[in-house]
Amino acid sequence: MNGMFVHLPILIIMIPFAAAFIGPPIGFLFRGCIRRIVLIALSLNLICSILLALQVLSSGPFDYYLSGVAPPLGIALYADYLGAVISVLISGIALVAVSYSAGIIPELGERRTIFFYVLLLLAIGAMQGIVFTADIFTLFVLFEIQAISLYGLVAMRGDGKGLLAGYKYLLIGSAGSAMILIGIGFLYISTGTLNMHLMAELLPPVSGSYTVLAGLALLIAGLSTKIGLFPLHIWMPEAYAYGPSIFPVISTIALKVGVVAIIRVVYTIFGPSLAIQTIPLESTLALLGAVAIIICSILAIRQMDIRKMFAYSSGANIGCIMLGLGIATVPGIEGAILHMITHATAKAGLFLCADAFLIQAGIRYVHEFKGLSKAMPYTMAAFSIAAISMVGLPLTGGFMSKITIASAAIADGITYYAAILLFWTLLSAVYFYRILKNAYFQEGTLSSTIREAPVRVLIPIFIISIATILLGFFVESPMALIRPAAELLLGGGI
Amino acid sequence: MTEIYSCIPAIPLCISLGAALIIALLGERVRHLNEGVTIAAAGLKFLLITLLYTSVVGGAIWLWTPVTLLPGVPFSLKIDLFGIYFALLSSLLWLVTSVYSIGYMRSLNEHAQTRYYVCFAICVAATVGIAFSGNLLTFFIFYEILTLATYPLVVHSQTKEALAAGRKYLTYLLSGGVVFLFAILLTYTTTGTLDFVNGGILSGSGTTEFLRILFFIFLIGVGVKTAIMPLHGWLPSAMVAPTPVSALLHAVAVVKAGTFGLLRVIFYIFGVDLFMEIGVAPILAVIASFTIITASLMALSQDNLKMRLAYSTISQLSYIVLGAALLAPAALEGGIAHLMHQAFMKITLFFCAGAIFVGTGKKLLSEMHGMAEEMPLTWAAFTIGGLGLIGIPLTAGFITKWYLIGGSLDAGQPVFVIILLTSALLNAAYFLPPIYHAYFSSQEKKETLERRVSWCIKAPIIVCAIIVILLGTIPYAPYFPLESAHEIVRQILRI
Amino acid sequence: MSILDSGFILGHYNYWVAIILIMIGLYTMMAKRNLIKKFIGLNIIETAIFLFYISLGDVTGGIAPIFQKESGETVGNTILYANPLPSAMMLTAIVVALCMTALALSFAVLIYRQYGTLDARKLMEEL
Repeated sequence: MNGMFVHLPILIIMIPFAAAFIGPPIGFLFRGCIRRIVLIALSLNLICSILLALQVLSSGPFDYYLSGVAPPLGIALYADYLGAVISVLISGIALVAVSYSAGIIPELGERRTIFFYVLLLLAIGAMQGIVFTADIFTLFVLFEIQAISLYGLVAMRGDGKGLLAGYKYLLIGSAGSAMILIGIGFLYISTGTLNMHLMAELLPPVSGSYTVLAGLALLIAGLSTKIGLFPLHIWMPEAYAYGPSIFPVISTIALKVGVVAIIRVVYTIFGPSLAIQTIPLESTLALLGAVAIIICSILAIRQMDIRKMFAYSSGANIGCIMLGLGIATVPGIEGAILHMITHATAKAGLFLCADAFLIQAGIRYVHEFKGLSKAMPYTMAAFSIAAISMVGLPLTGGFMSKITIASAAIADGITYYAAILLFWTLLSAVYFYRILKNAYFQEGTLSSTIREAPVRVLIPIFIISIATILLGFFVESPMALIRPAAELLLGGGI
Repeated sequence: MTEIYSCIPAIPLCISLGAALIIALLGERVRHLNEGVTIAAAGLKFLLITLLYTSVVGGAIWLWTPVTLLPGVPFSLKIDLFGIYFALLSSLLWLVTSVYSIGYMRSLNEHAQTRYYVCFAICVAATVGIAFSGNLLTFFIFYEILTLATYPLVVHSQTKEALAAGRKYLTYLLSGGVVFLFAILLTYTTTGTLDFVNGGILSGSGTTEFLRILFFIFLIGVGVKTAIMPLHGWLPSAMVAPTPVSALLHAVAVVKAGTFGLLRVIFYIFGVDLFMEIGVAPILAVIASFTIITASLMALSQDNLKMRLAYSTISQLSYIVLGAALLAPAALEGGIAHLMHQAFMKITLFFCAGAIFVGTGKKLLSEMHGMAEEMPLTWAAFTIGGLGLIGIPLTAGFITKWYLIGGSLDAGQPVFVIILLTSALLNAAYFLPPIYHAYFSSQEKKETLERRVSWCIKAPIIVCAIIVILLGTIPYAPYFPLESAHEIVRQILRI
Repeated sequence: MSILDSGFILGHYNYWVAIILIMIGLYTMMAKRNLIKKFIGLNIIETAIFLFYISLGDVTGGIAPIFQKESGETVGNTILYANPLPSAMMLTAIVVALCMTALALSFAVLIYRQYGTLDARKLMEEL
């Protein structure tokens, strides 16, 4: 293995952190150059992620020991297929989101824009760490770094609603973190190690004890607050609605990172056989997922504020991913990982467009969309593509991931979950239908001063739309990484 | 038979999609250019499909599978005889309807014409995609595109009524799509493939009970587009669309896509033998007969011309389903030929309805008394179409009904002969009175035409009416539907 | 071992203490209306976790790993040391908890400036 490639995992984590630390001084010295630093850092990050993905694809997963000390004494990073693919997703979406946002974000002002980008970089660095770490306590610490950055980001605008949403997020998130910490403690006391792979080896003899079971339950409950799994999704609507412009996009990938952590706990530490023995995965994770899908979709239908609507829709999609994970077969996990990618892409597109609507036309409620397709045709077209993917109709990524999960559910004999997944198409069609109908087929009372978003904004939006469509066709290219990832996870995860 | 792997099947699709893109980019300002692009694309596509048709009749099969979607299921475009048969129908009628659309939209000075032409082109691309699909998943992809692209055409007028109809339309078709997808995934998980194979892929892959249930899930999924009762509710509502849309999409493309899909599922997924073995054919025949009679009865009470035609469409579509369900070669041949024959008759009638609306602004039959004097040509065509659907000799409808009746006798089920004859009577009961009134009732007050009906509207009507006569007088001419239908049936039943 | 066995209950007293403290904390978080009191509830939970972890590190008769050989008990030739890792982990966790507390309190101050109240029920109506 090439010497440089060995260090890629730590590089991917450190680039955003380093940029976060050099960002503020340079940002305060030279006006408006913080965004360039962030763009460069994230581009480097994306390149490293892609290189790592290619490396993992060609020569398989590998360990990286921090300071060269091997576990159990040292802390290890583990670059596997799952980590590689989600890492590319994180850097890609983050880069697009940042290239979308302005050098000085209008609602924040110059000074706070710098802090905004710093927090964003910290969150990205933490996310990259979470997907690669093989040490469960490091996972917790990185989660806390990510969480503090996200709480700060929500409240960044500094108005009352943003602060309240941030405080709500903070309370729920911290309670979740506490549960994660105590769960880690339970697993640690049962096995005596913090390394996930060693833990996986040491767990089977003690897997029946109350301590281990309680540890698993606490970990899943705690991580559920991070990913907003129903009924712990309650922080999402307000945080999405009152956070600053690209916060929801960052949050969307943060949710996926939380799912990766759940995968690590369930499939890497416990392993599929043990997980199915100790907890009936199908009837817990899949059931939680199915309930989340139905209830969050109904909540979304009742919601008229589009940002809150999309927050509930995220809740439903997280449910879909959990359903895929709960199936615990190779196609099920493949579908879940693919859905993480397609949902993150489509949701990023939706929120970028929603931001453009808010900035250009001040629109955030469904009824205000009337006639918008004439004023902002390009943004609306991109929005429609993302919406179609969210609904899960053909030619978009959402369709492919949905049918992968549904066919996995049928193959596993739980046909009713497949039926729920497909029925969900109709539920989500209902709330997107209202927006699109208003935008395209109703004459509006919009003022004539509304202009199409500038080209600088349209380019990232189009990139996301094209990615959404490509995912609907060339699904085999991400699958090249996802398939071994699923097989590795089900093969015991070591 | 030779199989040729090439990207040729994608070209007709790309022509339509390219036309849609160009029109969308040109926008509303250069309306005449848009119309030109539509006509050029339609002509080019028809030419290409005709060429492909001759090659496929000569025994070639074209195949293109660029990417894999699911393991074992590529995105597959495959041109076999049945597919090109349907594609030929849709591309020929697109050409005719394009000309008609231009006349219609110009005369009424409709708004949002760009959107109209773009969606129209996408719909036709989707129809050709449906025809060329090599497996069920590809079929489903185009099937859903067709659903989505038709919606803007249904709500074209953007009135409250149109939006309500659009909502009904989407509810029915998306629900149907979801059920269809469910059936597709069930098939995929049991067989691991979704290819359309002559003779079916499902044989020996489950209990009879499971296969029966699967068939009915398929039937509900595809039946929504086929407008099998009681899943027909969207079709009459969708008549709020502009007449060219009703003519091409709701008399031909969308509903025929459903019928085509049903035939594909029966013969290429289940296979004839399995279809007979699981014993769902009689049930399907009963459902089809029920639809034929009930829809005809409902048509009787409609005063709105387009609504009457819509119910007539529902009834006529089930002829095709009945032909398939009877499983006698002659009946099947009649059914498949009816796919084409009925399209020409129905589109003639819809074109006439549109011409009347453009000329006089009238939609109700009770207002059309004595109108033949003012619009002799339109009413002559209307008479030809109407007589054709009744099944009067020397029109296209007679031939197919003859085959269907012969087929049901072959199958030893004379009860369906009674159904077919009753339906013919009912057809006469709802087509003859309007024709009679138009020619022989006197108008209360003499009216002159509101607008001149342009030749762009008249020419397609004349062409279609002539085709209806030709199909009825020389049905066995080379390259006519009956010849292909015969060959398709020979392939399907392997006789 | 049954969960109702007295030996089990007494042998796991550190667990019970942690659980009771966590329950008190959770109750505080849910029942109290003042935003700062809610966070105090969270702090109680966190403190319970710290105590729990530190109790995990205890080895009967063991001494802190910084002491020399002669001051501790030995089993054979091995010195009994308490496990230092949980304490080390808790140092990190305490720092994290402190950051959270600082962030939460600064939020609370800003919220009070905006709305003039810290009553959660009134504030949630604003959202």
